[in-house]
Amino acid sequence: MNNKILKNLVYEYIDDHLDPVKNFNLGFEYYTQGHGALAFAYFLRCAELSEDDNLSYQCLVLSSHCLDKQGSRTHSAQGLLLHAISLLPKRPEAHYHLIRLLEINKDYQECYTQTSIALSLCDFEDVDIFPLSEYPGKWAILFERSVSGWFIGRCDEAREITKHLWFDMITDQTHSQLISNNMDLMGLNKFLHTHYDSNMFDRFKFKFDGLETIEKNYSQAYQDMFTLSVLQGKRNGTYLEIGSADPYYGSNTALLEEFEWNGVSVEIDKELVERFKNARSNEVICSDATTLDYNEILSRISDENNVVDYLQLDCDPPEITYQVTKMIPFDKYKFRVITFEHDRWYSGDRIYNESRKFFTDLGYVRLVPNIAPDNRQDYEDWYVHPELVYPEVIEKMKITQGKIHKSEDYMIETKNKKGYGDFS
Amino acid sequence: MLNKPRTLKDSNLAKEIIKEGGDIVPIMIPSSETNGLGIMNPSILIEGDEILVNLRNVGYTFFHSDYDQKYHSRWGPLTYMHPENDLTLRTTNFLCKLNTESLEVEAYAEIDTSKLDIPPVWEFIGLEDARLARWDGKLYGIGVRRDVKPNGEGRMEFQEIEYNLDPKNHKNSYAKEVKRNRIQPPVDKNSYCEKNWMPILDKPYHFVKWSHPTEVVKANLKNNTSKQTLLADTAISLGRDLRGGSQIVRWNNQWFAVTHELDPFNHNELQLKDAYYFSRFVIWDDDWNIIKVSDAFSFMGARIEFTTGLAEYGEFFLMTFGYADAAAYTAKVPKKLIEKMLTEVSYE
Repeated sequence: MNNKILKNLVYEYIDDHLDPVKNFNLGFEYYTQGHGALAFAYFLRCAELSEDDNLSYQCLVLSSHCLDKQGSRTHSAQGLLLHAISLLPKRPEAHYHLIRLLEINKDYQECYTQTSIALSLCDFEDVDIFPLSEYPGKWAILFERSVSGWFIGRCDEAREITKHLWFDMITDQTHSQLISNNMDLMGLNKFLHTHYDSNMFDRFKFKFDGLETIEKNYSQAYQDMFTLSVLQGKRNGTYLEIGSADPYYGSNTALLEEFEWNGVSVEIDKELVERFKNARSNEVICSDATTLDYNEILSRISDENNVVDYLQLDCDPPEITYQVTKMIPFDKYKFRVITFEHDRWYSGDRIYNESRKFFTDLGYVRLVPNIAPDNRQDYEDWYVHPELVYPEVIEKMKITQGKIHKSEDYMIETKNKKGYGDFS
Repeated sequence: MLNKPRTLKDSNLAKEIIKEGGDIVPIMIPSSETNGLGIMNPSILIEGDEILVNLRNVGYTFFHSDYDQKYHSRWGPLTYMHPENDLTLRTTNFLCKLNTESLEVEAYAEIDTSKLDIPPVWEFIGLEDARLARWDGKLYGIGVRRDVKPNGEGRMEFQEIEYNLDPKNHKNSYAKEVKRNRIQPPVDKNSYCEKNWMPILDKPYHFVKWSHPTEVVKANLKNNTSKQTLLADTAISLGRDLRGGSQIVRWNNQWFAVTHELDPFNHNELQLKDAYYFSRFVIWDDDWNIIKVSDAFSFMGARIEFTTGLAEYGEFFLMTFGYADAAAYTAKVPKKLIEKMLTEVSYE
């Protein structure tokens, strides 16, 4: 265990063991190596020795982290955070961590009150957040306010904050998932889906035959409307839907069925399959998608040229989606439209990158990359086969710029958005 | 009336050690082994080309506000921060092998005590502050255990260790306790807690049980008893009791050890419990009269430091000590510096 950096810092410390910075530096090295108790000893010394309040503050917050990471020491950690707040009440880091620990301990009223104090007291703009503070930003205090507010009965406020966080603020990946879950728990899931209704007819960008007959769609992010747009309102089309989930809510094929399409859906959840069978006309197979013979299925729904109009690939997690993708006999069958769920927003770049290469090598054109139901959850790429779709459609609908594309913005002309409250 | 502490704010023997050609080396094992908790009170033993260290890992984080003591914990300036759902004080021990040149840990293994453990009945669990000794070919960690009696009675225990420490392949390393002896005290059989007996490495099974006035005892592993072999009648005035520290080694036909002493005090008008620990070099003659001592010192300036290991290493002594119940270091101390620090004592 050769550790020259640590030893050098020990030597620097020994050279002047009353120098707060040297205590801090040694503590910081132990901290980064995961030795919380060792770091703690030097951070505490630094806090005591330093005449620089910002440095003492930093040490007190990091000391609390040391305890917190060891588990089951939240009251001890809170004590250090209270020291930090007493020292520099306008800095947000210690407030945030105190609030977080109160929430973890289910001390919701104290937590909520602390968010009020922090939001009214802290200087969020003119402060240099120190390294490893693990302070995400003001939005994280708002997040804790929504959670604690919910549990003390301030449900309407909690909903408003949660919507505000979801639609107006950039958070980290972990909190995105938590906020998404909270949207669901708070009855806000309707905001997670973007819908077309007949009132949006004039603003719909890619009009197709039969659009005027649609009162509403079903997909989470306009996949059904996209497919019909690319294929210009085709009737009697065909699809293979892998991962069908609910027969209507969020379904990419329910609207297609209403356009008299024929197809096969695959779903592993027995309850959802039963619901599908009771509600829909087309076939559904209850099976693990990684075990099926897709040659057999596609032979039943493809046309004489071995073409199928739409392929949906959506299993969880995306590694499974990609595993199933590689089982599809693309050498024999072609698809006019493919929607592939890579879930890059929470699962990272691996499947995202590998799937892109896979489809590009097969000759598919990525018409819409990084589609999302909002401005954050880029979760799908949408492809078309250039030989099976009109070039002018590709020209009109292809996106070439930008990182995340909110599906509503892509499909619908925007009008002024309504805000969700002002928490600034 | 406030009992003001003596401070050793400027005491930093490590600086002098380095200046005189010595070294200070952190004793480290991966934090994944310790959950980031304290590693402390290491005890070193050198045998030929092998340098072993017993390293104590505790289940608490030690909180001690130093110097101005502005930042107390919720429970005062000196606190053991246990998990809030488990107030037991748990000790596990790692047997480490140091590189003979760099003195860094090159192999280690947690000492497996499962063969001899019983469900603990007291809140201090495990063998604490074990000092290493090898007698009759057997490696022992000898420390205090308090978890076997419901009143927390502490007795010195011999932990016989079998081990293999492989620097090249960690998976081959192991250490396990194969035998345990709990030794009764020699005189006061009702003593509540025996601890910090200092093994006299060149006198098998002998310990300095108390440094001053010096009391020497011998343990008998056949019947788990001990008997007093010497109780010195000489006394010197140092202001504080000398307490057990390192093992005792033979040096220049005398006995040499590092002891510790405690300066408890109550902090500020609230009379909060607090304490400082100091170290001291001590030399005994063959009759166990203390003949030389150093001034009290701190190795690296922490208020709580505890030396539990001592071994001769050429022109140096290696002294292993715990820092603030959290970190462990090896001090490679030049003999000439030790000699310079020692002064002859006068008896009253």
